[in-house]
Amino acid sequence: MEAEAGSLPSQGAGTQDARAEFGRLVEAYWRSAYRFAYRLTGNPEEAADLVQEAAEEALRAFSRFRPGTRFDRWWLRILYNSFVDRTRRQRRQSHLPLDDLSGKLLATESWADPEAALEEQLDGPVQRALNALPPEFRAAVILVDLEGLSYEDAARVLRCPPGTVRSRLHRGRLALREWLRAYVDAVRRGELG
Amino acid sequence: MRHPQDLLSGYVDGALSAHEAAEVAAHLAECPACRETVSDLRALRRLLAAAKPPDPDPQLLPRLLRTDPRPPRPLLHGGRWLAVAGATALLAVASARVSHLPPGSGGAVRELREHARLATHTPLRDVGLASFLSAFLPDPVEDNP
Ligand SMILES: [Zn+2]
Repeated sequence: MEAEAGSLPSQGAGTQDARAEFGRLVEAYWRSAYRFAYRLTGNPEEAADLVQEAAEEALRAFSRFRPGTRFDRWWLRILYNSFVDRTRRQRRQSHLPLDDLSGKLLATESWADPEAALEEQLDGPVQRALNALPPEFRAAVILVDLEGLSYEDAARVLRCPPGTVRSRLHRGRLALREWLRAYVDAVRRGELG
Repeated sequence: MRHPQDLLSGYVDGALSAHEAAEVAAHLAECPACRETVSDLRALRRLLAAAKPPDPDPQLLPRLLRTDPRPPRPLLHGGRWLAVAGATALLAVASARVSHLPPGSGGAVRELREHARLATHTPLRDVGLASFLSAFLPDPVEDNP
């Protein structure tokens, strides 16, 4: 079954099989695609829309998917591509400069109190801090720190060298460390995480 | 003392070669500032791993399973075309500025920084940001060829 999927004709007898295989893979990986999209966009509706768009692109390109390689990574790569196109079209991203480590984000938000941070409530501050990162840096942090990908796998999704992942990740983390300072300190004191 | 910068993230992730890891370990033994950074990075990683995103709308999966293949997007279409044109124009402006500088001038970096500052006030801020960051990062920000 798997071996045939790589050489499926775009029309005709194989189409039904390909469609069934595609459905099986989507069902296996839609949650991880959604998590990536949600972390990238910070918005449930937009995330669902992005996953849908990436599924359409993936189905259209499915004849180029090589069986034996990981569908989830391939799909995330398509999804990230759609996201990049989208942010260029929408032109409404507002990121903080990475060098602005003054902690303004914390000071102006009511969630600066780590005592109040249970795991569910932690999602808000983390997501707001991620939103403030430039998209390429946000994507590197999400893939490695939240989704647990290796630098090599993250580099394939982001289409850049692993060394670029490492430097984006590091600069992104340094910014997050300052923006989430109160939480980082709470983790270090053993009160959180 | 030269701090090993982004090697610290690689160190925390266990993603360095044995040689690099030994170098970082030797530096950490002598540098309280980098030790502090490493402790913060470990705490940050735990913090990020602990945050739970909301569950997706259960209606999403059935919608995905009804997906129709997406028709190819027209190449010269709407915002995408404008973005390409805009990026090309910005690039032309940036090159024109840099070309006015004396050869070997360190001012090119300042020009890019200024260009990036201006570009962040335009709708095409990502282009400006990419050129700004590429002046400082050891690795290219642009995609792999
Ligand atoms: Zn140091």
